[in-house]
Amino acid sequence: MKPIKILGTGMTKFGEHWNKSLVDLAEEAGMKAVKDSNLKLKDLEAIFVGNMLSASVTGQEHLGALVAERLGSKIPAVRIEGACASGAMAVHQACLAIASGHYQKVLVIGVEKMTDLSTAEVNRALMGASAEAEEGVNGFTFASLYALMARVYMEKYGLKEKDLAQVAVKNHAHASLNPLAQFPFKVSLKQVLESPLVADPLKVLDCSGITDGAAAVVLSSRPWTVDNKQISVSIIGNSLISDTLSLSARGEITEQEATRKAVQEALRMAGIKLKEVDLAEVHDCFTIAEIISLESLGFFKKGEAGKATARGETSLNGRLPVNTSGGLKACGHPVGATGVKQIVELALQLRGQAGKRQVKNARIGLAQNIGGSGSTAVIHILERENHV
Amino acid sequence: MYMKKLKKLTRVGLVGYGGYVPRFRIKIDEIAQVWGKEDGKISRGLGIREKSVPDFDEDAVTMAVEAGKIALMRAGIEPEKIGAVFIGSESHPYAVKPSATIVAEALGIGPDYLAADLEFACKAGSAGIQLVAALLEAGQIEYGLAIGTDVAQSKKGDELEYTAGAGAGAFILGRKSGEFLAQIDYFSSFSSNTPDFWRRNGADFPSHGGRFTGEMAYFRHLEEGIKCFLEGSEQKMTDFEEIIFHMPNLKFPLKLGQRLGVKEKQLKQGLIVKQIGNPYSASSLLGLCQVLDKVRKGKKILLAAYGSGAGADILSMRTRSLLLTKRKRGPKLSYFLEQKEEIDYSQYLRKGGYL
Amino acid sequence: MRIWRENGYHFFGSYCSKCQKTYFPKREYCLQCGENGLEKIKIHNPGKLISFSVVRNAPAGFEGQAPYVVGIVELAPKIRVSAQIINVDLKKLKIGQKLISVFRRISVADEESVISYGLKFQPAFQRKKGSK
Repeated sequence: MKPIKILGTGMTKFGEHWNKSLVDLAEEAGMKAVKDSNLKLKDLEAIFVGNMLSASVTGQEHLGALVAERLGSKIPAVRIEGACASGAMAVHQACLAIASGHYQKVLVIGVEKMTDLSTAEVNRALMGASAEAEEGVNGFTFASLYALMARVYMEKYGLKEKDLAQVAVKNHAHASLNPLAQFPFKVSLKQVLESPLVADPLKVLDCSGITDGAAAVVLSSRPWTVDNKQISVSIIGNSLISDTLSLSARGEITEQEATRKAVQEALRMAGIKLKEVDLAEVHDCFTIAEIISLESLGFFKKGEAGKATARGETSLNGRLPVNTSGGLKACGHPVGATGVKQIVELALQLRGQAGKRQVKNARIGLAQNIGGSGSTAVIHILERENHV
Repeated sequence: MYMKKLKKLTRVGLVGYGGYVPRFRIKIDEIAQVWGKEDGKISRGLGIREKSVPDFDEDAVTMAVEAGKIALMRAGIEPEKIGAVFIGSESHPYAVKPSATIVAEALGIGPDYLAADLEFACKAGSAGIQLVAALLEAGQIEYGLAIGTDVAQSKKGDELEYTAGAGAGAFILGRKSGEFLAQIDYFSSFSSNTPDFWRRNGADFPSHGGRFTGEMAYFRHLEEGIKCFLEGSEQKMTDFEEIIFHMPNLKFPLKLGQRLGVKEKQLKQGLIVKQIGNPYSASSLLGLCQVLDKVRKGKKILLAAYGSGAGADILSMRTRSLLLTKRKRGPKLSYFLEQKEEIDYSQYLRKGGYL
Repeated sequence: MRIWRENGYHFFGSYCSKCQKTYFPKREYCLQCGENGLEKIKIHNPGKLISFSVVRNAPAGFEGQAPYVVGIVELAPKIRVSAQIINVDLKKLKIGQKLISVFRRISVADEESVISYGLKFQPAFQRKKGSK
């Protein structure tokens, strides 16, 4: 695959933005990314917007037009939706557009505004990411779907609740070093285990919260700006794989089959082996999701990811730092923005701009974004090109 | 009074039956205690220990479906063969939209069937049985389903609250003698315009005439109705091994039995009220289910249902040996009585609150 | 109208008599031969519990009902459904438990809307010792 350059990145703080609308958030992230790229807005040729809930939460559809208008532009603007994978899907589609030769310089914004509805209403709206007619109508929530996976996984592999909790502890520790995270503070194992149950066995601190936020990247077919002294980072592999919508129709519910297939394809495109990956942003919408994803990605054997996490292998100083941004759990999960945020985090790390949470000698990063309970998986592999 | 001679049915029989009682129970003493009544007096006076309480996601329709399923298990017929469905209740979920079509669809019946909802206080279910019997005798249908089902309504703190229970009794009738669990011989009804218990459109709870509901309503209609029935069919109370009366409490059916010269052992098996209270349209029907669960072949059964407003439906039938084998195909009422889970008044309020 | 079209009163699959293939949930076209006009078939229970969870933070429309149990029930090889599980003792509920479906109210939007009925699951009939 011909590398696609990441010219600029930007994101808003993730959290509860009572004073900001969806388009305010999109504008902030978009402008930051454009500024970071040293390009001008008028240099852009297309805008891709990743978002899931705009219609349910704010009644607004047609986000391409909405965002383009706010950016003062009339260029082609497209809204892309793939549930919680909308962000990475938008990046993926933008890459395809560039690879086709149709566009050279593209802005991708992932944005979500969730706090305008009550928690119960958002939970209901989020079920649009699942098999609504089977799971949503029967009162399932996303927490309960992942809890179903957790229960079978725990029985099969002997994972304990405290093992799950370690994922949250780690991601919060990372987020405490990320000023843009929703929850930039540490939590203890005890706090996680004592937090109230949401859907047995998952507790409040096993679950990502409700977040507003946006993240953006400027992508191009080649480096454009002369003054840009940043270390060049590129997307060298990507893939998108589908699986069944409902969990009941899935194969093995302790597996993320779509992820497993997608990573093979992405690695092949990138021309690298999995062990060359230095760090990863993995989809931890719930603690169990990180554990299962790590195994489906191939980083650990089935049943091993929990122990590895407890041993610190996926911590900042471990051999494979996972979710240095704080992950979905601690950085926050504005659904459509997450996939783009993961790319932003990896780009910062590969450029050496990650401040207190910098991973040393980060050269290759992998981002994995899931839609629904595993119905879509999108993987991106990034590489640092110029060595300092 | 005009008493007509009753025509004996020639080809109507019970081919399947099923009773359903929801699993929760609240003790009458518990309700009494909440309302500050003296310990034990009300439960003793009524002769009822506890009453059945449906879960928040149950209603007259859902219970009818569960009872209907059991009736189908016992009948062993394809539901599509059922040509008429009557659902009798005082608590139909819709004022306009028949419960009968919902129940029929859930049971796999249709589309060529007659469906109608009936209402006649506590005897809407038995009225359904009579209508199905008439259609069968006329040869209009092959099989018919009649269900009496209720989530009995009562205002909190009113005396009805001590007895208003929930349940459903379903009966499938046919006209092939070889399939009869019991042959139905006669039916009749006795009706008058008597406002002993009623609920206006839009009112949440029923109103009643207190002691008027005894002599002038329950006793008068059942005594006279049964008298007319016995004379018209040339039968005597002593002919029946099993007798089931509508049971608003324990005292009334026992008192009625005494007046009619009925022995305790004739009434005993059907007295389900002690354990579940009064599920209105399902009361006598569940008593009949309990009797059918236990009775031997060749026994004569008399069913007399009473409905406020007011009227009595009376039926007599004779059990066959097929009953003893076919009744094993589905859970007996005792299963539902055993499955019970005791709740307190606060949980009882919560269950009444949602959906 | 969705409540009417998608009512979950029964579990329906589709059967292609040409390819002798059963599909669940039901569909319009056979994936093998591409023909439509598939036969509607009913899938019967009992089922086996694959996994379950207790929803404590309910979504809109289910607020007063929590906590309630949701799970995946397998009715036949490769035929699984998502549903609520009721009348269970959480201490005793086990993966693999035999379940049967019961007809219940699923949700009601408000006082004027059509009632949504459907199927939930509960432990299969178990005779207590000594009962007939």
